[in-house]
Amino acid sequence: MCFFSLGIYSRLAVKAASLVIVLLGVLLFVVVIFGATGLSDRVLTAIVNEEVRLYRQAVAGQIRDPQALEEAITKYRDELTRSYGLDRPWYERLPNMLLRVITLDLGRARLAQTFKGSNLISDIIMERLPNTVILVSTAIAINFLIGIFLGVRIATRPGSRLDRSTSFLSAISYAVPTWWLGILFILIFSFYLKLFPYGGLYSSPPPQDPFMRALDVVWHATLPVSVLVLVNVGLTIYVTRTIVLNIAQEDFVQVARVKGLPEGLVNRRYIMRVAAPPILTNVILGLAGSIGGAILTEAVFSWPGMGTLFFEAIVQSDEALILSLVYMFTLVYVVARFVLEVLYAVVDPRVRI
Amino acid sequence: MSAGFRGGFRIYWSTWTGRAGLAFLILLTAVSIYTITVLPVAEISRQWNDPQHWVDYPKSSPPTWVNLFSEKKLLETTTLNFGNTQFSGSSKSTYLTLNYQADSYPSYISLSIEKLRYTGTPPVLVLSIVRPDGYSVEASRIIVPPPRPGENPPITRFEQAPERVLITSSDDLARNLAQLYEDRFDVIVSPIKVLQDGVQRYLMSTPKDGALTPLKGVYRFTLTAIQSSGETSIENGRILMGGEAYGLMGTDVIGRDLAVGLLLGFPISLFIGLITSIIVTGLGASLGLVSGYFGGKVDNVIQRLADFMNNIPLLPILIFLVFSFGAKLWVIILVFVAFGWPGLTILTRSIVLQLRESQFIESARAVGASSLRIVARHIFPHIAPFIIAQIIFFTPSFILLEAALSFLGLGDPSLPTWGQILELGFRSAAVYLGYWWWILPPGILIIITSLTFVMISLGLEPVINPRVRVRSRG
Repeated sequence: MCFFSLGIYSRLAVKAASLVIVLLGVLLFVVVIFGATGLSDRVLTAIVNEEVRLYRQAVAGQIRDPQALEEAITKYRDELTRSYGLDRPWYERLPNMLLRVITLDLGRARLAQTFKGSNLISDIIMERLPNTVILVSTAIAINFLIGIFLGVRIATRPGSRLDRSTSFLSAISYAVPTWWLGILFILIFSFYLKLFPYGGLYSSPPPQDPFMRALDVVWHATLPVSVLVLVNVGLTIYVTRTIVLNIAQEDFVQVARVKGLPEGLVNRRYIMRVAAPPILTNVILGLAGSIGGAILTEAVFSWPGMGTLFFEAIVQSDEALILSLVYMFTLVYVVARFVLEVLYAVVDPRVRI
Repeated sequence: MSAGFRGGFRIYWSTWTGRAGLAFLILLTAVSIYTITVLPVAEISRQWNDPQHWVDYPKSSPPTWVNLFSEKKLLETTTLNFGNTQFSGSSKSTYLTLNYQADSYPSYISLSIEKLRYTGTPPVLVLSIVRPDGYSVEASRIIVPPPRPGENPPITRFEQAPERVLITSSDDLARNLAQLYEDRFDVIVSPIKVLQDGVQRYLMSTPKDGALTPLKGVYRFTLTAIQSSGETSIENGRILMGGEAYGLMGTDVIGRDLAVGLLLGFPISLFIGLITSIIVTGLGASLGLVSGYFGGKVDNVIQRLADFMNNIPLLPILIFLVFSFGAKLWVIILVFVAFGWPGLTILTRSIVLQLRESQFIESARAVGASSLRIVARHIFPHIAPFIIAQIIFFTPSFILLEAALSFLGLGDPSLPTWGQILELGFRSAAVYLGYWWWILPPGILIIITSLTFVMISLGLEPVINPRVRVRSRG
């Protein structure tokens, strides 16, 4: 493909552009559904009602005459209705709505709150976002460290008992729901063995000392991270093993061995250098699934991230919050994809010209 | 198909995963058919969501077979019936006795009164309990509503539905018991603590060395009608002592028999998995076929769209769509179909692209066969085994997706599914209370069902692969 003849920067620029198109496409799709099902009317009406309520409180002291007060409020409400475009059909305020979602300007959440008590959707999401990123990136990193290490090792002894049992275990892990495994872990390790907490990010009250606090977070993250790793690692090992095995059987590797190069050198220069890009491609492809798994795992362990927020938003039927979360998850995905693409460009020598 | 069905089956049967998968599939299908044909599914689905129907079942109870493995035997539900009773003249009360010899306490005690008739002033029914040690406590009072204007005696009450009082959550009884413990045993306990620990524990115990020990012996339940004038009769009065164990699979927090819910989950789970998979595979393969064989603009549009949809995180979008359009079964299936096809389309296209350049297609074209004929007679038969394998391969992912949506609270509420049973279990803190019978079986069933199709897939692989070689795309 002509793709590889492009330089590293133009290749990344093309990738970035296509990812932005993905993000915008998803947004447009979601906002259209939001408008067509009448949900956007409800969200905007809620925002207007809230502002009218605040306005009423503000002016009630100034305007004594009840009739004048009602008139002023009605006038204010009409103005708001017009400015939010509620007097026009949903497709005419599509661009406006799109902008609102992108800037997370979707009013207040129904019940969810930040730690400090703000219920602005943008505040809540900004508070939860880092927790999700920490959990997911830790899990993905551990998954691939273990997966690649074991996968490469197994590839050196194909057909062994270890090899066969890993392929079978990876098939089984495909059939296990991540979230149920989380529930099972809570039952075993928290309820019966009392080794780990039931969920959350900190003990309550959280330890004051920063070091102890960090340890506390690690202790709370152990179960959710293990679940995310366990469910995905089988496939990573299996795929890595297959890729490495295929390359190890290529002629140029045989030649290197025949030349008498030390095994470590052959592994590093001849096998891994070639295997790295397809393994990374596999990481990239697994990303979307990891994000989905993280939503459910967070909910199970009440990890205060965006996944748990999603769970709460569904219970509370909070349309605006759900819309914002769909956007944020797609954004996180797109950013993570781009980071991995950059990594790919570093690893794959064909890209660096 | 040169190898033929029999040859293919022999290869399939030679793998143990294939054999096990097929055995499980037959088992799952048999249970599903049994559920649909023998049980009144519509009736049970309705009952499932009607808390009234489960009111007298023990709540959150383990299955009865745990008694086989434990030293301490759990109580099973006991019912005492007063039967048709007249309260008239001077004898205005009736009683029932129960010889209680269990090591544990009932999970609840309730009193229900069916069809009460009275003349004169509205009566008040009082239930008092005399313990084996002779101490008596008043357990509950039912105040019968007075006649409505224009209503003539005899007045009938509690006719539509029996009046049911859960005496183990009665504040009065808790207060009376606290008083009894203070007066007779010199034990100070607050009524709130009695309610928290369980009224029945205090009702049926004596304090010994600071701990409650079950008080065995004959309990007397006396029902009295207090009335200044007139007569009262009831068709039936019932005292129910909820057991702590129920049925084959136990019950949930509403008292629902989990065995029923789990059984209904079989056909629903298989249906969702297979139907969605068949539609998705059909759509995906057709689009791939069109895209690969005809090429050009159509190919371009389909591939761009597939690439786009392959590149978005699926679950948040699925949650959003099911939330927006409502959690109905057909919405869920439709959403799965809308987002499930791209992977297969890309794969089918790459196979068709290879086939299109092969000699036998070229010769068919040279003879003058129409495109439709070539696709139908030459290309389709080649990819048919691959498509069938894909149906099997996709099935577990849809079973798991539906379970995940159900767990998030987006399952079709009119049908009990395993995911929904787990959702309620999780939301009502079953995990934190260690209600394993509520948490483990639905999850294990989800895994078994998905694993069945994974194993069949593994068994099919050696059958399919030599014929249709799927080369990875560069």
